[in-house]
Amino acid sequence: MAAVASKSDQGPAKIKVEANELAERILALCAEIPQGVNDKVLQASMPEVDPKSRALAINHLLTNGKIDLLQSERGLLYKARTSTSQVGTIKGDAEEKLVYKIIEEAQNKGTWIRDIRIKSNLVQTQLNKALKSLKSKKLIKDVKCVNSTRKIVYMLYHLEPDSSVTGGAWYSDQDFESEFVEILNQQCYRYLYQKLEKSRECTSGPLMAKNISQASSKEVLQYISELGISKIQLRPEDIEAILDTLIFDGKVEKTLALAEGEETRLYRAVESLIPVTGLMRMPCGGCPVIKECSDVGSVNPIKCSYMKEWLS
Amino acid sequence: MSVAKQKLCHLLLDEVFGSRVAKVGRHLAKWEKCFLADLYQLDQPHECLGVLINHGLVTYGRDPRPTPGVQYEISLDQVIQTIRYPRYLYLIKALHGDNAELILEEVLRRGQETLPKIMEKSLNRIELDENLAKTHKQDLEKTFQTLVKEHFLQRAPHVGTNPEVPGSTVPILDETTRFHVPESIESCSSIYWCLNVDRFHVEFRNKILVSTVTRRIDETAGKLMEFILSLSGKKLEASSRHISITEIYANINKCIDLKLRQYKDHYLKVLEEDRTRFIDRVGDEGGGTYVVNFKHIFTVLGSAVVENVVQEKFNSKALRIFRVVRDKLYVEESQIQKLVMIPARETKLMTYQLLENNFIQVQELRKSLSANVVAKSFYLFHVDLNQVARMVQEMCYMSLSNAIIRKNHELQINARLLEKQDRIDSITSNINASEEFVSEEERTQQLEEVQDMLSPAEHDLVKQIRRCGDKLHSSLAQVDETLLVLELFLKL
Repeated sequence: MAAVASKSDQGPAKIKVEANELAERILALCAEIPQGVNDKVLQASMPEVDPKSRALAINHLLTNGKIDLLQSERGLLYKARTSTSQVGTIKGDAEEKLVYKIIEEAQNKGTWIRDIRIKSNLVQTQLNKALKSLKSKKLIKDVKCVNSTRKIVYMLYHLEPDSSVTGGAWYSDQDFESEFVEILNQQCYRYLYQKLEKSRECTSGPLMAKNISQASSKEVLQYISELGISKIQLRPEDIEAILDTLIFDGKVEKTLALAEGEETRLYRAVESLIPVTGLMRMPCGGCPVIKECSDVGSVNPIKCSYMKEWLS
Repeated sequence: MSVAKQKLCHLLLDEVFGSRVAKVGRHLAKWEKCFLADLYQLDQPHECLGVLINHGLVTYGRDPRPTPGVQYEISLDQVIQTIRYPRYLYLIKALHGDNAELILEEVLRRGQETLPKIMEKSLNRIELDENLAKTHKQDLEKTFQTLVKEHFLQRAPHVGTNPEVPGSTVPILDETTRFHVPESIESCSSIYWCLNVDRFHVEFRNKILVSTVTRRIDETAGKLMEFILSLSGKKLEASSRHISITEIYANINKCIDLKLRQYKDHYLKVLEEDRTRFIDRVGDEGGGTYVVNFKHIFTVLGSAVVENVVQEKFNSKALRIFRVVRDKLYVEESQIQKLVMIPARETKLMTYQLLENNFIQVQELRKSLSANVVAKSFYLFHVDLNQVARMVQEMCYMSLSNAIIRKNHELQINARLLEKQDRIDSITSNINASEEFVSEEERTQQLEEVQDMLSPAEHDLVKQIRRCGDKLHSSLAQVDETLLVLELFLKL
């Protein structure tokens, strides 16, 4: 430490090197204590450094956005910034930087214009100006949110929007692609049903047949990608969501199996337990006005037009 | 006691026993319990009550209150079972032959009857009807013994005095002699026999299960299920007795199905592993012990029926929503939308349609109970399967009533035409049977003349009415099938 102190007496070129070194030391200290360090701790850990050059180094770190200055009951606290923010690197005025910082914090979930206004305390016009300028510099972008049609959220330009914003693979421009889902649903079922039919020809016992009829979500995914229905690359989670809808349709069953120490989900098509139940083979089963049907009034079994159609 | 059920009962009583009995039945259903004096306003109440009591549709007992007289109570569930009489006959014919059908028919006609009378009536019928094969009395008696041994018939509860209530006359059913035929026919003259409905339902239940397994797995598995069910007992219970694997194997080894013999372990495993849990392994003693948990299986089947109704009444998307709500127990609207992958608007529409038709229910959870606070509430959707099943049951009652009403209506408006057709039919058969005609030509000429009594248009109409009748009849049987599954689900 004495050597460092002696070095400070030597020429102005050395001073800069030393200031950098000092800044790194402070940063390392801040990183060590994530709760933040105050001035006293800094002083105690590096007693040889004079307050002036320490202040210089801290200012340097603050402007570069490497650390944050926070107010607490113990006085001022220095905290290392965990995320590698780039607010320091952008050019622009203080407002733009502030807005950029707020948007950056929201990460790929994005933030709404009202939240930015509340957080930044800026006037609407100022905010709009800042946003416009940032947009033109291609630092941020606006993304339409899937939850409500008019909501627009801002996020950094290079980020991929979170699936909660875009709605995942099933949304294009905030429209739910029900036809796409429907086709995938049908194709997944077709694949599993083909397997079930193949398993019926199996001659080596029912257990074997059952195993043949099963398929993991990865196999289904592979089949679907080979079909080339989907323009986008589907993830296994996406296909599992589709398979889940088939389970809710009652056409498919899911079992969990351990394969090579890993839990895999196996799906198989099943026949429904009962054919169309007797009640529904008669017009009364599906009758929309059965609640009104009685002996009196115009809705009755004798005048019933559904019945007439069915019997003729 | 719902209106739909009462209506159906009235119609059924009218069909089986006639309008007088139906009126008494309706009166009893309306007031739940009646004194005989309450029925005096009706036509021949004594005889009607007698008929109903004989068929086990009305029970009676002395009111504990100090009022004079005996109170009568009708059992609507039993009345609805009269719709299954044709199925009972068909089943017994398939299992034990024509003689058994004859005996059962006599029992059904009387409600309860002594053995000598049954024999006498059956033999009379055999003599009179040319189509029936001639049989000896011994054979008939043997069939009767088998029916009792198989618990299809039982001793009717005889009226006696209940020692607990002095001075009362109540039906007493002796458990030990319930399925026992005395050796000497002479002592039989005072013993009345009646139907054991539960035993028939056991057969129907087994049939449903076998067809379900066949549909779900394959025919061989269905056969195995049949073997297991044949070991499961003759009573309608929530769960079968414990069945050891050796018993099942012994049965399998008797059969000729090679596939079943080869893969018997595999098939047992598949039955056990199926989501419906056709059999449950309960222990390892003796190589494994199984039970058939009917309660669970019929819960699954009952919900399958309800699902089927949802799918047919609405569409498959509604079914998806229904199943999501059922699987997740309590679920919010937004969660449903995420899981079903149907456009939000459509999901909302279907969800509320299901709610409107009482297939799903909504539960409100309030953060605060006070009314003046703008309290946040959660609305959770859920399915009460019991309630929905009961609702579907009501739908069945209504459909059955409607089918009967429509059938009666069709017959009534075309009564004259049908009478004419009947007359023609009887004349035709007379001509065919008579030997007066000299030549075949003359006979055919006569036949043609008779046929011309109806115009071609009328012929077509008769055909159409017959077709309508058949269709309504078969749908009665089909709806009854649905009703049976739901009944078993709610009862077990």
